[in-house]
Amino acid sequence: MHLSFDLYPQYLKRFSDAFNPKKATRLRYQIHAMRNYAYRTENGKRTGPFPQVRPEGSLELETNNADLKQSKTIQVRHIRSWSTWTNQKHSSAQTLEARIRYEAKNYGHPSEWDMRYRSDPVLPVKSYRYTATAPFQHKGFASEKKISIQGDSKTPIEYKFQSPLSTFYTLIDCMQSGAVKPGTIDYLDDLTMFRPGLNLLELPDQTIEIEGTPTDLHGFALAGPAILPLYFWMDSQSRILAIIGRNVAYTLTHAENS
Amino acid sequence: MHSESQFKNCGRRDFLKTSSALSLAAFFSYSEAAPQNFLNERNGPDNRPNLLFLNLDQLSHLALSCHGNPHLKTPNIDRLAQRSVDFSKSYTPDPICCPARASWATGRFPSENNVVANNRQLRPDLPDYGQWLGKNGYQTVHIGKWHVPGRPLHNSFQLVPHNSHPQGEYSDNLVALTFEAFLQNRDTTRPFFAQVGLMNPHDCGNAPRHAMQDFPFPELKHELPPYPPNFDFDRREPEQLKRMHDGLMKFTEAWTEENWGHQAWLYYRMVEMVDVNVGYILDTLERSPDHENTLIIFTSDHGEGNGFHRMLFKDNFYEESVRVPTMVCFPGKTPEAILDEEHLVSGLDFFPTLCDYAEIDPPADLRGKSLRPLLEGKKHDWRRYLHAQSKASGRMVVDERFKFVRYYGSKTTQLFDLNADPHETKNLAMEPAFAEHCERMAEEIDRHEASLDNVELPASLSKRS
Repeated sequence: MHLSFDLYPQYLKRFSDAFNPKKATRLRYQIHAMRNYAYRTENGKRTGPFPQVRPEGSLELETNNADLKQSKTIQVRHIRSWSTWTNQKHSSAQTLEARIRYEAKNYGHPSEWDMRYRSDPVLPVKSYRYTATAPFQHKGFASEKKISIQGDSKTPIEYKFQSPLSTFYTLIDCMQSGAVKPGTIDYLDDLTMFRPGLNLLELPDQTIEIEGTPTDLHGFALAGPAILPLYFWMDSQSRILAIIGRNVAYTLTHAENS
Repeated sequence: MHSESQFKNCGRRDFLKTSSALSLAAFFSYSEAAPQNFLNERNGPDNRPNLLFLNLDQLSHLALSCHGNPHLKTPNIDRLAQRSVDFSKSYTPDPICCPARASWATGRFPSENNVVANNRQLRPDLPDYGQWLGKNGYQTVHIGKWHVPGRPLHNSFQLVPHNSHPQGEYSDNLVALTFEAFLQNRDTTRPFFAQVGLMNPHDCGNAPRHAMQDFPFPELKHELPPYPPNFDFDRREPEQLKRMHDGLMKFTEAWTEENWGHQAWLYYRMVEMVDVNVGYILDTLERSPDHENTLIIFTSDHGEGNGFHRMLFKDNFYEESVRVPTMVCFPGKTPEAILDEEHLVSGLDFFPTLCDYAEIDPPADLRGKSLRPLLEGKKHDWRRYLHAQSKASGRMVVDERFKFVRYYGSKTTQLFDLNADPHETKNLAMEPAFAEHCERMAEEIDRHEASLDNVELPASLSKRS
């Protein structure tokens, strides 16, 4: 069993409907975060058991229809909703929404994007009270080996990239379209944090039981400097069923051609 | 001496207060973090510097490429070091999360502030730096990790847009983005004090569940670090430390060099991961109008064993655990690219440094010293001995050459010559030639201890026999 399956297989969902990843798609993932240990000492007393993994947000992706020669557009709604302590209800949410124009091949190279971020209180909690922050927006461009992120300030943040550039969102789409192969990529995490020189590695095929049925999976890992390995596992129709980190996993709950 | 009961009462009072606060006005009516208008009555605009306290969790002094580590690259923290005074002999007041953070916040040792272990409640009468700077005209904001039990965040900071999530992998990008949101929307009529706490590389606490398996990438196996130079160590340790160490060694006794390398490889990736977040925070600040008037203090609450001394995690006085990076920069006002290998610096020094730059008097009885004279090359009378605490009963004192460690209730002590033996491989405490040094440093611990306003601790914690 691959080591990435230590905590998360129970959350994987099996799909039997027809699915064409090369057409326009609508995907929804549930985020599961590893909270901490099953037991904890609080005020001198051992408490628990707690669930080690909790649902903590969602990711929705919607792509338009395009063939591999064209640029595509993906709409992103990425919500991380959580609380500090394991047994609390979610007390805040950070929302990243984006619209990205990208290449349907070449690892999903983004050419331009709009991104909006905000942090909102959800509930008052016992030990602290959140304050909302006003949202901010970015406009981003990537061309001629340069990424430019224009926010509120006059001077944009700029990064130089050497390898094909990708993002979490566009890589998901390209991977399930069959438009990636093992190699080196530069990676713009959350459309802001630049992590260059990552290895995209092919993983040995696996068979695991999902909802009582043995399911063949194949996949890739994104590993290298400045990232914890991310494992992308696909079913036979190239749906990415799960993207598993060490402490966070995204599991597919909905996939359709739109 | 302070008793335990007041902390219990405080927790309930705080809870009742929190529950009954229905509005921002109600909140400010009791909050220590409330802005005090009378203090804003300065003549003209308030041009005092902004203060950014940027802290990481579990970053060892050794785990940076600018400190010579060949197994990772931290270009952003290295860039900060190039703009800073980098204090090489910097030690946490206590090498575990809550005690270290409570000490930063109050400027008092854990034995005084009551947070001698994780999840013990902070002494309620001690002001923290959020409260103090807020009272003195600063806009105060907390983003990310706090972990000071018994001190609700909104009682210390005026703005709390983000609290800590246990996993940096999930939340550190969001901390950096929320800092950007704060900078774009902040009150520009007064300076800010921002405490920004990134969680990584703390996620290494969960790394063993993967590290104890084969490394999954044959293509990258050449990147696995070898055993550290002090993997074989001197086992003559204080009994309290030895018990913990033996338990850890039992847990890892089946580990191969590949398993240890896998663990270290994951830790270094976490450091690099958060280095990118540090870079984004610096990039955001550098593009803001606040950049040239912002003092940055960068540090970590404690280090990480990472296989050194065959240790994992923290909570001991070995250098990997207790020695942390500390870099301070103030563009145009402090020198750049200075590696200070002379002065012994403590996490207790941050509160007085913040007050010094904020041009306010610090609270009474802070135990640290302002770093400002060191930063600005001014005359100073610096400390000869630096003290730290661990696990309630452990005490460490360091001077220009030696480190001496003693645990109350343990017979065995440790003495290391940090100049001749920087990896602490030989305990000199048993050697007659060093008896005089042990005696001198033990007396220094006693002298220092007698000067503190310690709380009363249960015997189970203090192990004082």
